[in-house]
Formats: sequence, C-alpha cells, structure tokens
Amino acid sequence: MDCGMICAHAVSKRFGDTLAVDGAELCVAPGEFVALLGPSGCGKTTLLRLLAGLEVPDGGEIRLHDRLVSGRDTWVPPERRGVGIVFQDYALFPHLTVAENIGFGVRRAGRARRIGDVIRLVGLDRLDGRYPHELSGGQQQRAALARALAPEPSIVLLDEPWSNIDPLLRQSMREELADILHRAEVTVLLVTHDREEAFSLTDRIALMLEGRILQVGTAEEIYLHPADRWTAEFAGPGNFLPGRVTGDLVETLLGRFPVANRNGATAVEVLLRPVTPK
Amino acid sequence: MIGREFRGHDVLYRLRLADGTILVSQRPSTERVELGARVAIRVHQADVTVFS
Repeated sequence: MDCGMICAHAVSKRFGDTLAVDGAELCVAPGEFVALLGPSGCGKTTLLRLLAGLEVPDGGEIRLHDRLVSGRDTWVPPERRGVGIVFQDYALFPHLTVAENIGFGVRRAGRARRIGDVIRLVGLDRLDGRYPHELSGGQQQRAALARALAPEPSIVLLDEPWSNIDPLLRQSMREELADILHRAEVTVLLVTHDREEAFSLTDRIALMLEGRILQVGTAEEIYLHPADRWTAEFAGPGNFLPGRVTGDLVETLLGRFPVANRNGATAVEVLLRPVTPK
Repeated sequence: MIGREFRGHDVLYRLRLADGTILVSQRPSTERVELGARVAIRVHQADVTVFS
C-alpha cells in the first residue's frame, strides 16, 4: 500500500467495551493540511495518538512517510516516527525556559542554531529566556509549536490547539499558526470539533463519528455533497425535503432537480443548502 | 419569514411555507427582510444530494 505521508488502514482501538476507533481509513498527501473533525468522544484524538505512537492499535496498519510504523509485527516508538505533536494543553515543561523547552528533543549537534531558527519562525525572538508561566496563552501555543517543529518533523499533529484560547483571539491565532505551518512545509493533521475551524483552515476534512471516518473531502464536497444524513446536518444548515426519484431527476415540493448521487431508492430525502446567490 | 440569524456577510432566514414546511434560506446581509414578511423563494442549486 502506498498512499501518502500519513496512511491509516483499517486501524482500530478498543478501551474496555468502547470501540474508540473502528476501522479508520485515512490518507494524507505530503504538504496537505487535513482536519479530523467530529463531535467530542468520536475517537479523533485516539486516532491522532495512534498515529503518533502514543497508543497501540488493536488492528490495522499505520504508515508514515511510506514506512510501516505500526502493524501486525511492527512497532516504531513515537520518538522514531518523525512526528511533532502540539497537545491541547501545550504540555510545556514548567521548569524549563522557552529555549530549553524547544531544544528538549533536538540533537546536540546544531541545537543552538535550530532553536534560534524555530524561535524566529514562530516569532518568539525576545522571549526565549522566559518560563511558560510568564507567557500569554498565544505565546505558550507558539512555544509548543516551536518545540514540535524543532526536531524537523515532516508531519505535525495538532490536538485541539485553540480550545484554550479566548474566542476573540482565536481567528487571528488560527491564521498565524496556519501561516507558520505553511512556511515550515510540513504535513498537518488537525484534530478539532469546530466545523468553522476545519472548513476555514484545511485542504481536506475527515469527518468522524463513533470511531469511524464517514467521509473525507474538501469543505465544499462535504457541505454540498455529504455522504449521509448525519454528515449533512453536522456540516451546516440545510433543507431536508421528501422527494421521489424518477430517472435522473427528483421531484420535491420546490420543483424537480438533477440528482448528484443516485442510490437506487425512489422515495428519498433531498438536501437543499441555503446558498447566497451571486 | 419567521426567523433571521445575522452572520456578518449574510443572513440565514427561517421561512414557513403555507403547508407548514420550514425552510432555511440565505441572503446577503446588505439586504434586510423583516420578521413576518411574505417572501418568494427560488432554488439556486444545480443538483441535489439525496438520502434514502
């Protein structure tokens, strides 16, 4: 199997009676920014932790950089997967300065230069000697991102990075972080429950519910052509009308329309999105 | 028109048809339609997604 920078095939993980991840299939191309979007408890953080090597899957295969890192007889530990992670609470070491936090996972040779490069990339130039408690929430987030980028990973995993940020600052911080990641030329997987965040920032979205990935596509594909009724409702407001399919058309109380996804049924429910006319 | 949600660049309206069906419709926020107004609707979508 060869499908990209991040590739999960039939990945499953159970905690007791709960099937947290159920046969997940996901492929992310090099340089792509993809969101794992879904409601709380749908398994998206568990899937991220499986990709990072922080959890061991019960089944399936994970490939990163086209290399098998998790499979039947294969297990590559997190530190050898070439993945940087930004956790929801940032997980900065409180007793280390910004520069020491950033340098923590970096090889000794060239460490000082790399710390300087990353500090400039995230715009923390004059704060390198401060401790985490002396930083604002946004600065802590940039420090966490710098620490994730410092070992030069080609993949960065973000777990709800804006959930602790003031809503008034969130928009500008999203754009700032996305810009830094773009300049770092990494492949990004963002875990979020925020539809607007996923729709506005990412190239593609993998929509999750109850451990399963229901649909992967661009924001437009998921909004206009959702795979099922739940996805349709989650993706935004819509009109759901009864309809009857005849040939290539469906008849509704608002008229007859060409059908984008014929499924063989004649009695159907039709989705019409509210779209601002041009 | 029975409800309106201002969303900045556009407004999401809730409409009730004569048979009681509720619809949502979107218009630019530069226009303003008052609650209770009678309006005409037109569908702009080229094709539709169906669920069985």
